[in-house]
Amino acid sequence: MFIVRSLLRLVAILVALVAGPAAVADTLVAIASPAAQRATDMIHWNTLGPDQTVLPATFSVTSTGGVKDSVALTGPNSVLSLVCATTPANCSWTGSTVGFAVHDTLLWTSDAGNLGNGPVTLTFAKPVAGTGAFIQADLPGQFTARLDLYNNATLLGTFSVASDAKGDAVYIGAMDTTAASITSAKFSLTACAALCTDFAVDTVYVTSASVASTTTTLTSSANPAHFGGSVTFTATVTSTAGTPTGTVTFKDGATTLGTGTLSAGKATFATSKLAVGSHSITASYAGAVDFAASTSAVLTETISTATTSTTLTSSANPAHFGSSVTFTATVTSTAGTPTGTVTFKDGATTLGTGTLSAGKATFATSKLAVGSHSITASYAGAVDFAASTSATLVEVIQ
Amino acid sequence: MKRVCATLLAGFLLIVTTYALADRSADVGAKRHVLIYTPHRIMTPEERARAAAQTAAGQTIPLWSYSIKAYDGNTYSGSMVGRAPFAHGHRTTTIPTYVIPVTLTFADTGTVFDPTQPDHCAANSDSVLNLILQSPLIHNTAFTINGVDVGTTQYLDAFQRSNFWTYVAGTPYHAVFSTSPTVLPAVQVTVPTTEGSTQSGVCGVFGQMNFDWWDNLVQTQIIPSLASSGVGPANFPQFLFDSVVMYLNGDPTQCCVLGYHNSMQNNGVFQTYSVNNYDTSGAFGEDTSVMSHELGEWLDDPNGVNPVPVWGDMGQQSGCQNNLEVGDPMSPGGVSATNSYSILMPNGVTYSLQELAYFSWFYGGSSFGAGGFYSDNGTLKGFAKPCPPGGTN
Repeated sequence: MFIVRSLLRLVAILVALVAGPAAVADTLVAIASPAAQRATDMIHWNTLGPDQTVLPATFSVTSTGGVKDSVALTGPNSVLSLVCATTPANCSWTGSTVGFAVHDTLLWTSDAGNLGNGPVTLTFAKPVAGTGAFIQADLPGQFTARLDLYNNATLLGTFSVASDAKGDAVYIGAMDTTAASITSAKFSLTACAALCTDFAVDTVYVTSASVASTTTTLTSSANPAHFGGSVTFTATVTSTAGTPTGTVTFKDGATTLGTGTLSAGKATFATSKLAVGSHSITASYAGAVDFAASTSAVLTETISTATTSTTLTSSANPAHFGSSVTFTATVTSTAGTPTGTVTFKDGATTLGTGTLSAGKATFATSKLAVGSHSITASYAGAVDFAASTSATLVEVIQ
Repeated sequence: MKRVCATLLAGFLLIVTTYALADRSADVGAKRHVLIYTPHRIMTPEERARAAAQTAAGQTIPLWSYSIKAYDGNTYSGSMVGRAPFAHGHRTTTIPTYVIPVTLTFADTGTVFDPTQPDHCAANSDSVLNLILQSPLIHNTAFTINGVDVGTTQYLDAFQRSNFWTYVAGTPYHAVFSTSPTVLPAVQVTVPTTEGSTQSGVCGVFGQMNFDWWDNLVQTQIIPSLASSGVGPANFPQFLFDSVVMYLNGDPTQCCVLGYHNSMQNNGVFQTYSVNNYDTSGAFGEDTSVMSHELGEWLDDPNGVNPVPVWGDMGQQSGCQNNLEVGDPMSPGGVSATNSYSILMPNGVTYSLQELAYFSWFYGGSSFGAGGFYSDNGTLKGFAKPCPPGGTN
């Protein structure tokens, strides 16, 4: 029995030695643009020669970062093809060149005969975290580009992007958010008008290091808040890979409110200038070398009208019958100087109105009867300011 | 039109409209008629599909397909040699080419017509083979077509570039023969007295032989025998005669075919080839004019059945015709004007090259061609009119 247990233990040890540390599953995500690819290295095909240079079936290409990667085609006689030699009118790559920039040099899998030499397999000198490129079928019409990413012989993931009906170039890229584990990338077409082995690949974007995913959440210090009141938005950016650094942009819909710098994973932005109403606030983390960009869910911030306070004074109290008395209403708010109109009343009877100027409105009268009068001033409110009514002022007429 | 219909029903279309040959010499006797001949097998849809699959698999010469709505409102589809000028990318397509001299010995007199040997009737007393290899069909020459510099290249590439100039201007689009084509040793053929005879020319003699006998020989024996030399569907064999012409239907009075292009099934694969005479006898006075006609047609209609709106009353066609044969509407000496090129080459020889009609002439609309013309030397300024009565806009 001891022997059996020992043997089992030995087998377990051997298995562990062969398998190595427990593998973390790779998480690959599609990347839709060179900007999102966040490339740290690029492969420019013009390093291989001028326009129409004929290529062998396999060759090496040195990236801008000095990394010597290898490329394999199905056969020789593919060529380099300059998108446009000098001007768009002098273009060897006719038709739509959306995605292909003038003067870019393409790796074109066209062969000298009837066939194309696709797919294009790019083997990296050392594993990378992501890659992508613009790709276009030779013949016009809709096509579907495909990108297969491998870790040695293991297929990590497959991505597809369909072009528009014209066959404009599409960007097809992907990123391993877990680790730099991609050892090779195969670009191909899975559907096309004809000859799916014949297509062109523009500059290859390479992301050398893994970029961890992030999550951005957004909170408000006051919601709802009064107009003019200060509101502080706090964005919290988190990642399982550590504490992200960088900047966060706060937006109200499509309008940028401002930015904040992350500190301990938090960035804040304070404002007292939001107009009355509802605001769709988002916080977008721009990402950093090791952290992917992310955007918070929309926070609906409600701004209500600012409170006001109305006070009332009299120029003469008591006053003689028939003499002029001027009532002055002063309307104030912490959010600013209210504008609008003030209604002066004697009890329920409206005496008249005055327009606020620098927060003050006046009303003069000499027609008050002998006796006591309960005078009030009512501010009607405005877009950003709430209504308010003064305390009752007892005016005595003798 | 009546003849076209009849021949279509027969499954074999002969483009035999003649163009009058200038009276070369009293020695020739009565004025001869030169026949520019394009034998057409009518391809079935199955054959078309099979040929397309073979092309895609790289078994044939490079071919590209098109589909276009013509001026008559109908949509026409066909294929041409090379790569599509309408595709996104452009590059040079080099057609693997074999030049195969044919030494013909006529049994009636024992006269040997050998294109590999110096010919005292030829320019520079050179061999026909050398003259062809130094011609603008093989040798690069600067071409300005319809006022547009289309580059320094072979004539048919210059034609094709100008044909689709709207799409290929300023690009490296080319469809060329190798400037150093593979030249095979001469094929030795004896023409029995029943199949041909020797005739007097202005300078020496010329041979005339039965087209059917010859073409059967090409398809059943010569091309198969050249497989070991590399000749096959993936390349283009061009057979070359020195002063030998052909007659049709076994009838010497139905003379003279100076050249043709054709296609066949070579072990089940689509194979094109061309046969051309270079006349040094003076009986016909043709050097590379007919060859440029035939190779231009091969380039744009390799199987001879690219359909077009029916055209006619042009060039060598006094009737109506319904295929994209770029040479036929522009054959010199025919029913309409044409404007051949005369190109002086470095060997001191001036070569004649036939003007060719553009793709846009057959299908109509604004011309894709250089200078907005509809042929490659300024003759056609509008596209074809329906036939009958035919003619051109």
